[in-house]
Amino acid sequence: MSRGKNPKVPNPYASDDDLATAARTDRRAFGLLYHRYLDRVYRYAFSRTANPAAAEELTSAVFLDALEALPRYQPQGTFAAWLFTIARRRCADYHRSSSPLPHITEALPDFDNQPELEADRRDSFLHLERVLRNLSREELHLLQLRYAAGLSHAETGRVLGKSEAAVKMAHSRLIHRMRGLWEIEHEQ
Amino acid sequence: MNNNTTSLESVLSEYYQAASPSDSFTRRLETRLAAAHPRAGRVQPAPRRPAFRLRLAVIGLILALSLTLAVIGPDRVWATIQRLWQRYIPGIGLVEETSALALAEPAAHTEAGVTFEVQEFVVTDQETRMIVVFRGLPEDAFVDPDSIWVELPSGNRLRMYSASFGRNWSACGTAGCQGSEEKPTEFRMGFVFDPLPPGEKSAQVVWQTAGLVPGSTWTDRWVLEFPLSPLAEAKDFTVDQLVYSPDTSLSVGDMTLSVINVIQAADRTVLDVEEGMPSREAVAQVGELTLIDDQGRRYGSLGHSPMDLDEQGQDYGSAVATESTAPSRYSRHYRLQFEPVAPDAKNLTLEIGSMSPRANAAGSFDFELPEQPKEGDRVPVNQSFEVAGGVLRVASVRFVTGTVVSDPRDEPATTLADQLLIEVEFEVVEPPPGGLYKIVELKAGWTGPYWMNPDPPYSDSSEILVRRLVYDPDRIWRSQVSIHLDHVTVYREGPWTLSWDIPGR
Repeated sequence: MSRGKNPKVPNPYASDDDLATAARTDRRAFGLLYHRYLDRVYRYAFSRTANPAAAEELTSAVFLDALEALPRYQPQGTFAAWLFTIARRRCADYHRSSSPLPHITEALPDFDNQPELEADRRDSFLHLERVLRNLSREELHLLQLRYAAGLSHAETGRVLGKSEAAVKMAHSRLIHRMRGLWEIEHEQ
Repeated sequence: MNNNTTSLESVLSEYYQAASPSDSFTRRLETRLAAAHPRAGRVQPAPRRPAFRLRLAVIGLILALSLTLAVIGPDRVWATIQRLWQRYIPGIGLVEETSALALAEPAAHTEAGVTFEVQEFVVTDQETRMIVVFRGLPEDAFVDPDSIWVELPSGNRLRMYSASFGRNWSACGTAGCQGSEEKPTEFRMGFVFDPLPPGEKSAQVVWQTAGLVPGSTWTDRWVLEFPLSPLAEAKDFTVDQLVYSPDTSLSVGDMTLSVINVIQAADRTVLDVEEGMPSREAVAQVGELTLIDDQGRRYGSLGHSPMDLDEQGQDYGSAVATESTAPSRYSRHYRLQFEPVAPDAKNLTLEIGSMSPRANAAGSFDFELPEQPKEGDRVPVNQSFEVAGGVLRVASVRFVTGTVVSDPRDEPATTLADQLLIEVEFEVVEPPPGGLYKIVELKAGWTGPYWMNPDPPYSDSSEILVRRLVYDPDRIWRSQVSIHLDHVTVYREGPWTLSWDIPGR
């Protein structure tokens, strides 16, 4: 249940910027942003740690950092990039004290609970991880931002400090190279 | 794009999307964020204190209990009587008086102009609740809840469940701080921890100052150690209160709303309200809430923003759905707070302006993408959906252009104009009984939350509802598109009322 007229309930369809502005004084607005981005932040953190507990810890830290930094956010239509810049920083701190290149298949919860459905999926994930082992840390990070965080090329560029065109090019080349590796792995 | 690429990108997407945060973590973090929000726990202006006589309340309560015993039976009366042993401590909430321990006097440490004070510390067999206050910190200081903990003699820390944070400018006096050069700021933080181990008669609270005290280092720690006494001895209860269960409810469509507990204390009136709904997602937006007595007096709100209650009626600062005893119903609990009710009031009415529950639509429609979609392209879809007793029909699906929220943070352009959008127009064939369709929520496989917010206009009327999705070719890998009709909000105009008699009046 939420209140209707006084104060006004945040519009769930408001833009990120409108919600971010409202969230400085209205925790329900922050709640809407939280629900919009929770899965994406968690998946990004999980993709970088392959550890559910660490992903939870990092996700918590990201949202608490965001809450604290919200008054300094300039609403320019860049909330996702701003949030994932925080997430990137937090995850970088984590990586200073942990091993790189996490592979998440073994860490996925409930992976063994549906053996008949999951066998193929598990195989394709392990297959993919063999391809991922050939990538650099930067290339992996690009994939994590694109596919786990769900960022566009432009957003990814903002987080990485590169132009949208540069990210598009890097992504395209990476997929092309991975396709070759993917085929080789298939043949083996 | 060949099949190989599609397959690789599909697996990549599935691989990186495979993990999801657990429900318990989601709720826990939601609670923590709600509590950490600067507006959480904000101290309300002091309400007027009416002349409220303890004797009258006790006699009234006894009379009410006698009457209730005769009318509704001993079991429920016993539940009510049990509540009489709970005490409402401002800032802490309801506390079981008989077994609780508490801090007798506030414990404080002052250094370099900064004061760290444990103002309340109440231990029950369920939990430990604490209120700490900081004075002398910079106005924009942020005290990390994790920098404060309760340390046991073993060196272990009590697990923290939630923390709330608020600021108080009361030191400026009733006139406020306006016009004053100095703006002394008091920070208040409320914590809920695990209970202290049985037998502990003292507590040790640690604050890692994190550089907030002038001249201190990041790792400097201040420690407050204090004895605990039985609550009844430690607290001088001068706050008169009346606690009862009015057992009143109303139903609007699939929703039920019940007032479970009423606490009429000298400083506020607290209503514990339960909202029942057919599913977790069906939470209703509720219009303006007004508390009125039998003489027409209206009591102002003291901040009854949506809050969750645990089984003891304590406020955890956010709404969390819990499964009720009925198999297919869910309930949420809220605490509403109003100004104190006048002593001569005999009856109370909670008036609700409107209720707008979300109905699960659980429908979807598919269509084939044009080869090169462009503005003006129409896609034939003829599908209707029964939602909340009414019928919505997809009247048209077409491609339009519009401005969408875009990324570039540091560039002048902050939005992308002339982007291709998929516009879905719904016609209201039959409105839901007693209400109006208000908001249609759509989902599509390629749309992340970021892309669900193209600029309005969304036009909603009693006949037509329009929604737009961003067409993002970067993320659509198949020509077959499926759009999911997720939820529809149904607006039901009130006012709806819940009334009850105050026991003993």
